[in-house]
Amino acid sequence: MITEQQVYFFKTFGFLVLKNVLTPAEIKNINKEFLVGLAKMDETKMGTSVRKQYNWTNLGPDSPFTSSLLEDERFYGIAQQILGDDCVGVDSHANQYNGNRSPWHPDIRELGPDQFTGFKFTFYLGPVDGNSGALRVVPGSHCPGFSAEVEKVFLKDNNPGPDDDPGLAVNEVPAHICISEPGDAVIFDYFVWHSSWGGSKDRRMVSLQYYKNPKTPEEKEGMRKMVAFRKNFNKGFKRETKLYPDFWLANPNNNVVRTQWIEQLQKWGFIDAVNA
Amino acid sequence: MIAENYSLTGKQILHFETFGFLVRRNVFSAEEVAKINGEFDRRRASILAEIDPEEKRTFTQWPTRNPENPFTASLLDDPRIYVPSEQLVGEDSIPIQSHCNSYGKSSGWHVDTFDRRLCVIKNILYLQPTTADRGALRVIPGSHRSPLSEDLRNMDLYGFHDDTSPFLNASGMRGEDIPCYIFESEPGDVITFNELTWHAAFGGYKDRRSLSYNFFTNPKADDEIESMKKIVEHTPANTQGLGTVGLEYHPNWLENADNNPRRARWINWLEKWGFTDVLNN
Repeated sequence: MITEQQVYFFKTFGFLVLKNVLTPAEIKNINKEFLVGLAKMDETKMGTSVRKQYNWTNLGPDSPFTSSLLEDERFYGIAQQILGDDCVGVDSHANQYNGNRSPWHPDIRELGPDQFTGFKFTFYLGPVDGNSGALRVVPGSHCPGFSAEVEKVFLKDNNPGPDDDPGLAVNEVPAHICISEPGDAVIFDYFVWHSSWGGSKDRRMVSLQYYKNPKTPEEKEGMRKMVAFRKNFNKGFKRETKLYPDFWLANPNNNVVRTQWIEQLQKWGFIDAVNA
Repeated sequence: MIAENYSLTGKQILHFETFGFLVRRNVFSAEEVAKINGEFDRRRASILAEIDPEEKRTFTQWPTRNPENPFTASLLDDPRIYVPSEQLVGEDSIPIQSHCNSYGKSSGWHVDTFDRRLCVIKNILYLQPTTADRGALRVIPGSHRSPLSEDLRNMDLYGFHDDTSPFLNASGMRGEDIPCYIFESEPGDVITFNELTWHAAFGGYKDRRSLSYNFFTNPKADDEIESMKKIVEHTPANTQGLGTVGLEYHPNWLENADNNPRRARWINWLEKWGFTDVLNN
């Protein structure tokens, strides 16, 4: 659980750093499972962007501990505080980055915050700082007005200006650097602008993702759009496995929370769309 | 390399508008900074001898427009200061206050104004190197904008001293835990920020130095005029609260012996609005 002030911090700035959420033994376990997933990657599955990213689901049988974190009270409990008791854990990924930066972007541009609310926990499996791939965020940039202004800024990597002055490099955009040690986690809103700079090869990150259960007509319409968006988005990753493997959907331990999530994901049409 | 082209590019202006601040590096040379520091040494010593011989004050401020620090005074007429300022606030903008500042400790999170009817900017030159843990100015990018500005106010972050911020007290966080851009700098660099932008500096120490030159929009619309009237009204109390030492506009500066037309315009404006009265009495 997080404090009232931490909830306010997250809502104001669009992110929150949590220290020592996972123990060293748990990080060791996650790393062990990470290596099993990584062993199945080869160059054909590497993303083509400057991130040079491998990305695979943690919901398969190779990573039972990592998979269980989505339902873990330390994460799900916080998600409920922020998104409501009936929020849904939708995803968990392992990522290995081999590029030296991730260009600035929000994770979602296609919807507005009146249509969709969700966030991601990320935890890095090694120490990261401003020059070794720590997450950078523009605080408050999850707000639509500010986000639209950031969108206009020329960025060398993905929104370049003229050749003689192409714009800001990743590390030139004014930002907060989320310095992190293994065991720490960063929560960030899907709409917040983020990046990383100076990452070395084999930078490892695990994410857990949660969505608010849509209630209003705008949110329900937003979820329909999100399903379509995620269907196309996933085509950008060269994954071999389904996003929701049969192992996870079978729910072998009959986890009550997961049962509810699967029902909800099916109701939204999410599983069919992203597994297609 | 010292900036020779004083005008801001469109991208710099966009950066300022988007994030609420702008950094320019190497605007003044090491020789110029040494000259400023020399004037600062002498003026500070004479002020302390006169009003604070035991050096108990944690903040000492005096106006730049004074013949005892002629080079520092001249910077207001220097295009490296007024050209970018006029680009950001208007060609007819006015530098109402310009100060030498000697801080004795850190500054917690605050804004210089909550009034968004008038645009006010502040140019700051730090006269010593600054780092995150030694006095670097911190700014929250985009915090001059709504709703972030109001959200920060509503979360009770405001507190010029850390122990006066209700949010920090309640959360157990330190001022350093608030996300921001940290302006680590060398003397000669200049940061310009919108006075609505939330800012702070931590790792303060005795005689942490800066020069500040603020420029105000020339009010035209009714709400701007109303806002400026309130500024005139509150300025004496604010200045007294800060303990500013000496006349804001020294007679020597008001004399404008070189008939500088820009300065003449400023003086006319300051007289018309009553600032020469309220800040010189």
